[in-house]
Amino acid sequence: MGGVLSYFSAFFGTKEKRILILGLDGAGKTTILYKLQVGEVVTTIPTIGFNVETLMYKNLKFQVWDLGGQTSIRPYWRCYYSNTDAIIYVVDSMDRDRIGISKQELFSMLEEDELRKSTLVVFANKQDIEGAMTVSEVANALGLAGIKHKYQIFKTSAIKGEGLNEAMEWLATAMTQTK
Amino acid sequence: MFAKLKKKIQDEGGSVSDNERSFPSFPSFPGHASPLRRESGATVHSPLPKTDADSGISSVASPSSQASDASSERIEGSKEDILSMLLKRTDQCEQLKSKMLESNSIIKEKNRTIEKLEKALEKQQDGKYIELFFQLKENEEINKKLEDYEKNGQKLLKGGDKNSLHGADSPELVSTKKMLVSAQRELAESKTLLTEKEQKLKLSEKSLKDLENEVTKLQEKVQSLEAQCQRLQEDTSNHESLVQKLNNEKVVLEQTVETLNTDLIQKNRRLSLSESARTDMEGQHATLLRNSEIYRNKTTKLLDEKDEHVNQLQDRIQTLEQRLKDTSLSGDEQTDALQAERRDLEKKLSETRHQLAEIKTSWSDKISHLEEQIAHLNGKIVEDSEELANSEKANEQIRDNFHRQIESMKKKLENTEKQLFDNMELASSKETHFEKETNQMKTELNNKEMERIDLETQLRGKISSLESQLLSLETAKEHEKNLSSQRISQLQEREQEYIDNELKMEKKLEKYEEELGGLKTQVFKKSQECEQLTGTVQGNSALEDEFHSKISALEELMRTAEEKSDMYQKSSKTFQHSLQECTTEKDQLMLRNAELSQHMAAQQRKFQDEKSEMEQELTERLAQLHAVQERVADLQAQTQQYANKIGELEKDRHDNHSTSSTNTKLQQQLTQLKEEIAEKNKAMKKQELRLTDLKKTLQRELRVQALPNDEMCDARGQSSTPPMHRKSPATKLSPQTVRKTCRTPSPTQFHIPPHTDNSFTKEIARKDDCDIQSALEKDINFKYLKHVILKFMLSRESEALQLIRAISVLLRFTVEEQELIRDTLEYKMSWFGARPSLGRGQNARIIPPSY
Repeated sequence: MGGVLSYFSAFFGTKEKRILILGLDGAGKTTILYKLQVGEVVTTIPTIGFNVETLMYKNLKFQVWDLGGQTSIRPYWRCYYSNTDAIIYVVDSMDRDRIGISKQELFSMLEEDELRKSTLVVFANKQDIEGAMTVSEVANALGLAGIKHKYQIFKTSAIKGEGLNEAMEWLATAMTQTK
Repeated sequence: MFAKLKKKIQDEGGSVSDNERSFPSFPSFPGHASPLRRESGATVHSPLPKTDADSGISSVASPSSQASDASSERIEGSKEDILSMLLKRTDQCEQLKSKMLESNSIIKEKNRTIEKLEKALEKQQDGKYIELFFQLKENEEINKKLEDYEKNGQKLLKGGDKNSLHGADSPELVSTKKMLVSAQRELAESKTLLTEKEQKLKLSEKSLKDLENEVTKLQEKVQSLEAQCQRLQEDTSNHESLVQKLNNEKVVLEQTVETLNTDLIQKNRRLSLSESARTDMEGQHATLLRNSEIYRNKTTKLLDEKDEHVNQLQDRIQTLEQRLKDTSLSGDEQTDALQAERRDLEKKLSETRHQLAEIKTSWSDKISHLEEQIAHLNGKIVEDSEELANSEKANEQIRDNFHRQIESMKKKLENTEKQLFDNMELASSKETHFEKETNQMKTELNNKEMERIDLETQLRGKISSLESQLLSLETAKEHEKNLSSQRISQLQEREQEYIDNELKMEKKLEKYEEELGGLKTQVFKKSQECEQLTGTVQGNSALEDEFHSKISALEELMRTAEEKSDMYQKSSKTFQHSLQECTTEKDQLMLRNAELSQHMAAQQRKFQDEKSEMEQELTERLAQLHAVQERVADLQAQTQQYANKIGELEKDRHDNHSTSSTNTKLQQQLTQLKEEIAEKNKAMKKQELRLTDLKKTLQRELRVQALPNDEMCDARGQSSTPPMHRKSPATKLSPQTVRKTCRTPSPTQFHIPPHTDNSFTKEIARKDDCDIQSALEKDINFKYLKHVILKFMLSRESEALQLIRAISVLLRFTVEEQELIRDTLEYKMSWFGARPSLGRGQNARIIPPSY
């Protein structure tokens, strides 16, 4: 049955885009996913495993994968890299101590061959908290200047829903252009 | 009574007037009044013209109501009901007015009757007065006549006596004398009767006065009632005026309502006219605008066409000129020229096409613009319709307001009618009250007359009774006269007896007086003796008094002496007391003295002791001073010695400087060595801890992966799973790295024990089975695996395809196994396709289907 449905979906030309949401544990990946899907802030538990939801945005269908970001399950990210169109990399703007680890993870991920053609969107999350790092600080700390991929950074607040729409809009336009 | 009197008087020869003759007839019925009185009543009565005036007012009021009716008929059909109601009310008012008039006429009639009654009463009184006056005159005349008669009688009697004295004793004279005597008697009787009648007359006069007072009271009452009647009439007139005013107001308000309605209609008309005019004007404006636009367009088009014509003509001119030029050229050149012409023409064609396209676009723009204008016009139409609706709403509101005003007016009218009703009720109640009062008055009058009749009858009865009493009293007087004469005779007898007794008693008195004189002389003698005795007694008493006085003086002296002695005794006692106190004080003072002296001695001793101690201390201090001075001297000596020593030591230090540097070096080496040892110990401990951990993990894995080809799988997994080669500082401390580190030395460590301590390890495995399971459940990798497999199993094939790799990494599937899973999933998804070979028998990878 699923095959039939997939066949029809392929026939009508609305092939869904595969997006991964990655980042360190506690950055707010699951909150962002459900904020995008439901439009509400839901209570989350640490993700051991992953969450998958499909979103419709500007006649584009996204299959969004939110992978758990704990240290021990971070190595399994690479199992999901194949056929990925875009990566949303979420950074906790308040976590100045682990921004270096975040940078290392980001660069090791971007080195992968499977993600050579995928676009990158960095979410400098938790901007609603006072004393958070600014977008430029986060960009400097992550060393985004040295990235060869097509990327953009946005300041976001998953709880207040700020910046998410802009980022998704940019992502949608970027996807349509790459198609 | 009166009849008798009149008869008597008539008998006696008095004539009675016509007035007096009519007198007995009138008191009973007031209706039988004489025509004269009626005339007077007509002159006196004032309320009659008033009734005429009232009727005149009513006649005046009715046309006004008619006028209001006429005006109300003009008003619209909705107000006709109210007007009909009003007409009814006005009819009712008129009826009530007629009733009022009737009641007024009744009241006036009653007043007339009352006045008639009053006049009758007055006449009665006048008649009585006249009667009394005449009676008094008659009485006087009768008295005079009586006196004349008496005188005549006396003369006659004297004459008779003379005649008798003269001795002419004829029987005729005797008879005449007898007649005279009888006549005299009759005269006396008549006199008494006259006096009685006079008394009765006085009584009747008194009663008359009472009656007059009553009449005056009644008149006052009548006046008050008349005043009330007048007030009521005034009230009714006021109410009528109020009703008229209200009617007038109603008429005015109705007129205003009409005018307002007409105004409304006119305004509505004006509004509609103005709206229509506005729409016309707007339409005209729009048409003018359109016309102007059309004209503008036309002119612009004409201009453009002219320009285009000019351009075309110029182009043609150019081409013709070129042709003219070209005609002079050779064949090839002509062809070239023609080709150039063609090119120009083609260019022109393309330009014209472009222009056409532009024109098309401009047309489309214009069309869109026109559409927008149409939309705008539609919007305007909608706005106009809204404005119209608003104006209609305003009109409706104004109408509602007028309706409300009309309703309020109706309410006011109702209220006024209610007030009218109330007033009418009041008037009727007052009329009834008035009637009642008149009835009461009538009954009272009747009662009074009855009482009067009763009184007359009573008076007559009393007069008769008094006459009888008088007769009885006269008889009693005669009896008494006889009795008194008898008593006087008896008393005269007794007087004589008393006189005799008095004489006797006087004689006795004389005797007793003589005896008294003797006794008085004796008394004188005895009194003289008595005086002498009293003088002696007085002398004795005086002596006694002197003695008494002397005794009292002596007693007083004694008392003073005793008092003095008491005083002395008291003073002596006080002195003794003071003496005792003084002695005690003295003792106390002595004791204190002694104590003080002792204290002084002790203090002196103490001071002496202190002195001695201080002296001793002084000596000791001096000794100490000496010792300290000695010590100081010694110390100075020592310092000098030490200074010497320091100098020596400085010299020595200079010598030992080189040796100390070698010492410090040795110490540093020692500390370094110690640190190294500590680090090594720490490393040793860490390695030991690692060893123990590795042992535990090895034992666990021994139990989990007990198959013999496990190591081979592991080796393949290591080769196929790149995440194990991830080397980042963040993942160094993860359990995987621990595992990885343990896996490198495992072949050596793990291969040795199974040969030697296999049984031992199995025992440990059994013991720690539960612990391992719990640890597994706690392990995050296990949790991850569980989650991924659950999702893989529960999701559709197309989604599950994406999880094959994750599962194969987690479970370290081989590439072949991975491919197998993918192929089976794709087979399940596809409609047609061959099932991948999954082996048979012992190598079968699936549960064979049961069908």
